[in-house]
Amino acid sequence: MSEVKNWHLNRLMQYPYDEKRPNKQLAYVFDTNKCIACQTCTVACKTTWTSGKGQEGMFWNNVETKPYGGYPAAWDVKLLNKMGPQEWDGDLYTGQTIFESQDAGERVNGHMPETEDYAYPNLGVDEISGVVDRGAFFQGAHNVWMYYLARICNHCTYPGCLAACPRKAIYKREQDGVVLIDQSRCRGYKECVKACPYKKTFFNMVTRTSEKCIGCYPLLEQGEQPRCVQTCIGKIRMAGWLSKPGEERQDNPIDYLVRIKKVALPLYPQYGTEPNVYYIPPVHVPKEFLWEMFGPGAEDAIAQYRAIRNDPKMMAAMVLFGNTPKIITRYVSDAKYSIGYNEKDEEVVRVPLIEPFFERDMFDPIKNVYRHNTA
Amino acid sequence: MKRITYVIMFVTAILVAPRLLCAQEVRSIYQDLPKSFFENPQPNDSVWKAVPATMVSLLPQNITAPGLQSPSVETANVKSIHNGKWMAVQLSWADASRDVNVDTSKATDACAIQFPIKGGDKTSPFMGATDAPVAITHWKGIWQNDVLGKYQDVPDLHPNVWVGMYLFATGKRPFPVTTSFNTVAARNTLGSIYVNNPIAQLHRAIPVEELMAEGFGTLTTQPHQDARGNGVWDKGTWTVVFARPLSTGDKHDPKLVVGGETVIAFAVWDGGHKDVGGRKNYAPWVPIKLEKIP
Ligand code: SF4
Ligand code: SF4
Repeated sequence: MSEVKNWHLNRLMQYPYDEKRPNKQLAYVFDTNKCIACQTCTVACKTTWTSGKGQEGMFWNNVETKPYGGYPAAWDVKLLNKMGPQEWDGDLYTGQTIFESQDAGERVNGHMPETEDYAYPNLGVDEISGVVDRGAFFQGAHNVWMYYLARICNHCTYPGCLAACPRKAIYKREQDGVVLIDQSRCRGYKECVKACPYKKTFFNMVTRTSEKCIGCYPLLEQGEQPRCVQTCIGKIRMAGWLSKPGEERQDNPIDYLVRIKKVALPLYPQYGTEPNVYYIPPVHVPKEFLWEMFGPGAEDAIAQYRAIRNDPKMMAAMVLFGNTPKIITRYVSDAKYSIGYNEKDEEVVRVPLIEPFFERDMFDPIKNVYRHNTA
Repeated sequence: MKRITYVIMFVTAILVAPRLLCAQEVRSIYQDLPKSFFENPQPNDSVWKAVPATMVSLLPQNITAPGLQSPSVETANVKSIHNGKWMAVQLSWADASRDVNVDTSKATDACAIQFPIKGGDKTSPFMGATDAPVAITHWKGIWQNDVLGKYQDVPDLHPNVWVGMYLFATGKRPFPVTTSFNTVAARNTLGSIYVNNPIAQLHRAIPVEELMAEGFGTLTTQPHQDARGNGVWDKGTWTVVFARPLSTGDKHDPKLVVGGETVIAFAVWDGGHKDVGGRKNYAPWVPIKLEKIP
């Protein structure tokens, strides 16, 4: 075991290998407030990567409804339950990670799903947190809640899957931080499936090896964002490069949202893998639930998000979501536009901060018809 | 340093398992048997009835993680026979269920034998050591099914599965993986099969695999496969036979000498217990003597 620095937990933690951050780290920001669970991302990923035999129930990208949904079934609550109550002291995590709480004979604290747990990827879809009281009516805020959580592999800085593999068949790429399973080295022990707290490595019953999200690295290598990001209907996603801690840049949109404004937070940071998909928490969900899921920064993140009008730079970063297939490495904004540049410093996208506003007359004299939207 | 490590591991194993101190010797008896007896060895061949058995105690592998904390199979019976050119080892153990499927929460029954390449005193029984390799022959129940023409397909585990289409697959529903995925494009949808991973073979000819190792995590399929084997499950007992030529000229293989002595180690996995990889039961080096030809 080595001692490594985990900036999500604000402390050193135990990990089987030394700290070795890649030259570039793939990272994503997902705005949960905008996701409509259309599953376009899921299907884009499925048709691109997992249409083969043995991958029928395998979704490298899935979108589930919280609080009750989950794929594979109960993936998160099973581990939360196994780990038991854990503590934060402010933004310092004083509880144990999956690398610090494993039983004898285990490399990582994990749990193995059952085959059937993968059979219902839409389990709990659209279910709300509680019962709507008889006679209740809408008063500006719903008294029950739900939200959609889009999930992919987090290409963790300290991957649980990699730590668990006794064959070192899993590696993290130096050039982009993508975590891959070597398909010629894997012998199908499924230790990674058991260890990944996000259950984002999958066993293929036909090829008898494990498989996982590859971050669409062929696209990354061409300066493009992954498929699930490019196709997102709700424009909730952005992928780019997250700088090493202490090297963040104001003009990198991912750095700005994740490190500088801290408006986007890791999912279950307490597991200790330093996951690199960052979520803007849903604004309408009880804070206790958000603390558990996104750590102690959840309320601050929501406050930042709500105050976006006072932060033109955050606004400029957010309007870039879903408007270009290219990876934006630098952005600037003026009074009207947010402008994104690629690695070669070429302009790849220019998005108005406020969409042009058109007001039409009530009456259309050409068609001789009133324009209105009431019956 | 390496040597000290495995000496310590060996001592630890002996301390935790005093019964191993009296581990017996396996005698490989000589019989004038035809090559065919070894080339497609039959676990229940009547020849085996007369061969004396040695019982070996198995321990849970808990020296490295992942491992087992308590054994899932505690003993196995070993028999051996040779004809001066080939040698066979029969391993049998009690297992109430024939588990031959793999999936996330399923594992296959399996066993393995291991020989040192240079000599038992020069390497570790625990997967060998750097520059002191061991040769392993691995048998799996699911591979036995493969060679019986029953490659595990999706409907075997999920009988009600219905899939609209598989990209590039040919033939008819349910598009058996062994026949509908033979084009390059279709194989390309089967990751590890496409890259010829030795454990992802759609058309396996023999249910055993020869491997080498130089320590934990180094298990590697040998480029040249010389071993044979077969296993049958009957009334709660697996009986598996491994066979190999005494000398192959392959530098990854053990040299077995008539009249000579070497050591052999064993491993058994219970699929029903979800044993896989390092989660196994093992017996470290047991002396094995090849009887002289009278
Ligand atoms: S999310 Fe899971 S599969 Fe992905 S890198 Fe992290 S531990 Fe590995
Ligand atoms: S495509 Fe975007 S909006 Fe649709 S489900 Fe996926 S993440 Fe949500």
